Parts: sequence; structure tokens; C-alpha cells
Amino acid sequence: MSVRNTVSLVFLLLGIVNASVVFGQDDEVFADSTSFADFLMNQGEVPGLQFQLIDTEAISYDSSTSIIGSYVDFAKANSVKDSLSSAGISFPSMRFLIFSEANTFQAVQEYVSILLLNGEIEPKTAESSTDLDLITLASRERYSPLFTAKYFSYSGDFKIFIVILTISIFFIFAFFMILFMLIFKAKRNRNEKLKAIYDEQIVGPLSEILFEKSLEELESLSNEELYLNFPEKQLKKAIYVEVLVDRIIALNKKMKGDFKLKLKALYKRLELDKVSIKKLKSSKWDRVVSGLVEVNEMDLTEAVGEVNKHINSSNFHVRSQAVATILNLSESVDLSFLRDQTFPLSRWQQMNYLRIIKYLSSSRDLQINSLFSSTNQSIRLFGYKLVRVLGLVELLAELEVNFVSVSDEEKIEILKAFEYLGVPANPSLINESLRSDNFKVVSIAAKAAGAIGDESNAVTICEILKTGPEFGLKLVLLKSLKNLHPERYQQFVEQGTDPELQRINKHLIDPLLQDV
Amino acid sequence: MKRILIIEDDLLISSLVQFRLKKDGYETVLVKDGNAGIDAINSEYLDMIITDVMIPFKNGIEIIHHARNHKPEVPIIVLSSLGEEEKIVLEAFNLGVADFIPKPFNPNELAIRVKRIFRS
Repeated sequence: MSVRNTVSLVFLLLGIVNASVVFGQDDEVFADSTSFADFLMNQGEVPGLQFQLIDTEAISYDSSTSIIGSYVDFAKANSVKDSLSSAGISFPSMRFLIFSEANTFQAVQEYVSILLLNGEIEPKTAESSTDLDLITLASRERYSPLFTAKYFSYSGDFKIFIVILTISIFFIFAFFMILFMLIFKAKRNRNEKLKAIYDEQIVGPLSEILFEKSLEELESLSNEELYLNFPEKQLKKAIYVEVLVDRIIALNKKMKGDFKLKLKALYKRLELDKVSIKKLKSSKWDRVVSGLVEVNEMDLTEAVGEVNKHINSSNFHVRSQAVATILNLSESVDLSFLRDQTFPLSRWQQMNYLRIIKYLSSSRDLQINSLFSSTNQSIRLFGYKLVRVLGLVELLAELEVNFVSVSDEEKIEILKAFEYLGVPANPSLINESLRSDNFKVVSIAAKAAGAIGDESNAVTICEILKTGPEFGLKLVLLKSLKNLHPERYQQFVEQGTDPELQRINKHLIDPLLQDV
Repeated sequence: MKRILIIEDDLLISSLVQFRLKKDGYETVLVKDGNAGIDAINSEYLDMIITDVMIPFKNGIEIIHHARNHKPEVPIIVLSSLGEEEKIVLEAFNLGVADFIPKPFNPNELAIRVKRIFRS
């Protein structure tokens, strides 16, 4: 359709151009047909002039019905013609009438030129272009979107749909979050209230049973008597049981003497041991740890097998508590299970285990030397520390053998053990350490030599001092030599010319400064 | 009947102590925090005070100070965990407490000590 419009417009323009040429030759009122067409558009009604729109398709059948309309205003006629064309209703052509007689465009141009020249019509000045013109122009073109979506014809709607969906999801999510929080809080508040109520309910019977019943009576307590204090109905409630367990465990930590035994007996009588053992099988690490604490506190030896499963757990807390529990519970267990641990021991764990091992070492053979053969360095170091802290002099020979093949860190710990226990080590062991590249090893070896060294160590120290070591090392070595062999120290200082040596000597012999 | 004030935030411990002392025929006043303890010292007639060191609002030492100033004749027993600082224990003794019982403890032992203090 647009092609047809263009073609007809081109022909019209050609006609106008042609007419203007003719017109221009005569009197040149209109420069060309375009200016004449513009004149007609602006002029409105021209006396004696009429414009008819003819349906070109219908004209062949019946000429009387082929007239679409007659207009005295060229602009209006042109507008109707364009509207019909753009709407696709018909494609009319325009007929020019001068005093109701059909004429050509050129004739019309001539007629209007004469009218103008004779002053019979006043040419109207062109109105300034208004928005109306733009709207008219725009209305001639059918709307078509600049971009069209390939898959969604209503792309705008699709975007709105996405936005609405996102907002809806957000609100739904927020609603459920708030709902969840409210439910969670209400449940927690309810549990807290229940715990407080159960706490009150438990305190009385627990106090009474602990003071009124002997251990034997507690162990042989009938169900009727038990349920009189702790109702059977309540014992089926998880929160009640949880409060009961917490209370008995807390009390066990703060009580001593026969009360502890009574609490343990009551714990088993109430079958709370089953609750604790069940916790060990939980997939939640905090429940497992809580179960381990309960098993440990209540000495539930029947749970040792289950506790063993957690010794090498990847969770630090589970692992630590499991080892502590095993050490406390098992009568037959030694430290070989610790030797096989793959995870490094933290200082906190070492402290915790040491507390238990210290307590157990007097009554049980823990085979601490098994730790020396562990593939885990932190376990070996822990073994050396145990030798030192527990005073296991009989294991020093074993450490001496291991000394050659171990790392500097372990050498330091072994040397510390020898020095702390005051047992003379093999002189070559200290000599070798004195010649180490590691300052820390040399320093500890020098300190050990000062306490447990011999003549050969003094010679080695003098040899190293002659090489002119750095100040820090020189100080450590001189201090050690002074303790180990005062005569040799004196001789070395007197012979030495190094001003630093004299300064250190002054410091070491000063009664006030020597320990600073 | 002798009247004993128990200042302890652990409900179970205080109940056990109360139960044991009642068995021996003492009347007990139970409070859970330092402020309530101070109020009780000011308002109640008391023959003895048993207090924990770590309690809410006011610590045991402040309670002892207050009791020494307001009721110097009333004997005080301090119940406390072994883990607590030696300094606190020494300070308590310097303030003139009658006895110190470390936790874990045996309520029967506490009852014997209470009896001994009253007898002396």
C-alpha cells in the first residue's frame, strides 16, 4: 500500500512540476506545481474551484456512484484522500472542477493564477506549522512498533509480568519468613516456659530423693516409687527429659561424695542413660558432644563402643570430647588410640587431655611411649611433653634413640624434657644440637648443657664461641658455659679480647643483672 | 529457730541447700541475686548468711562488705567454685567470713559446718 501511495505521489509531483513549467512560462505566479499545491493547501476555499474524490475501482462499473465526495477546500480533499488510502478502504484519485466542469491540474493552476493577478483572491500567508500538522502527518502512517520481540508479541507485558512475579515472590517469601519466625519464637517461648515449669517440678523430688534415699535404696527403687516423684507421663515428654538430664548433669558437676553416686544411680534408674547414648548416634555434632559430656559425667561405660566411633571425627569438639570421655571411662584403654589420630592436636586439646592423663597415669599403664611412634607430629610432641610433665624418666632412653631422626621442633621438646628432669643426656646429643643451624635448637641445647652437660659440651661451646657467633647466641652460650664449667668460662673470658664478650661477662657476673 | 539467708542463683543448688538445712531445723530465706541479698540483709532478721561469689547484679564480696557494715555479728559462709581466683577467696577471709566451701561440695558437709559455727 505504501508503495502505491509513493507511486501516486511521484506522479502527482511530476504533474505539478510539469504544470509549473508551463505556468512559469506564461506569468510565473507559481514557481512550480509544488508551490501551487502548497498554495491550495493554505488557501482553503477558492471561488469556482471544487475537488472531487473518485473511486478508481468503482468508476468502471458506474460513474455516478464512483464519486466519494466533493470538496471546496483542497486541503480537506487531500486529507480525506490520504485517510482513505492509508486505511486501505479505497485508493481514490482527485478530479479538479472549475465551475463544476472537470479540468486538468494545469488549467486549475492557470485559473488560480488569473484570479491572483486580477486580485480577486487574496493569497493567505502560510500558517505556522503547528502540532496539528504533525499529528495529521503522523495519522497518515499506520502504527507499527519499531522493534518486535521474536517470541513474545507483547514484550512490554512480559516485562511487567516478570516484575509483578518478582514482587509477588518477595512478598510471599517475606510472609513465610515472618510466619516462620513467629512460629519459631512462639515455640521457643513455649519451650522456655515449659522448661521453667519442669525445673520447678524437678527440684523438689530431686532434693528429696537425694537426701531421703540411700544409694542402695535408689538402685532398688520400684517403678511406683519412682513415678511418684517423676511421673511416668512426664518422662515421656522430650522437654521434661531434657530438663531432667541437664539438671542431673549440672548437679553432678557441683556435688561431691555420695551425692555423685546417688545421681548416677538415679540417672540410670530413670533410663536417662539411653537418652545420652542415643544422642551419640545423632547426625548433629552439638547433640553428639552433649551426649559425650553426659556419658563422661555419668560414667556410662556401656557407651565406650559408641564413643570410640567419634575418636577420629572431623569435628574438633566431637573429637576432643570423645578422647576425653574414652580416657575417663575405659579401664583398659591406653594411649595407642591417640597415636593413630590424624588430626593435629591443639594446645587446648593437649591441656584437656593432660588433665585427665595426669589423673589416670598413677593408676593405669597408659603406654605413653606409643605416642612416640605416631605419624602425627603433634601427637609425638604431646608424648614428649607428657614425659616432661609427668616425670617419666624411664622413657628418656627411648627419646634419646628417637632424637637423631626427628625434626628440630621435636628435638627442642626432647632437650627440654632432659633439662627439666635433670637427667644427663648422651653428650653427643647436646653437642650435635649445639652445632645446629636452628637458633632455637642451639639455645635450648645450650641451656640443657648448662644444667646436664659435661666436659665435652663445654669444649664444643668454647669452639662455637671462637667462631664469633651473633650477640644473642653468644650470650646464651656464655651463660651456659658459666653454669657448666665456671673455670673454663673464666679462662675463656680472660683470654678473649672481644669487647662484646667483656660486656656480657660484666652482665653475667653482676649479682643484680645476671638473672635479667 | 535459727534463720539462714541463702544467696545462690542456681535454683537446684539453693534448693538442695535449703532442703538440707530445713532438715536440720533451720529456717531459710532464699534469694537469687545480689540486690535481693542486700535487701534481705537490710530487712530480715538473720543468724547466718550463705552466699555464692558469682551472682547476678552484685558479687559475693560486695554482699560480704554490706553484711559486715550492717550486721557484723552475723557469720557468713562463702560457697564458690574452685576455679575462682585465689584473690577473691583471700579477700573474703580478710573481710571476716566464717568459712569457705569450694564447689563441688557435699550438702551434708555444709550442714556440719553450719552446725559447728552455731555451736562455737
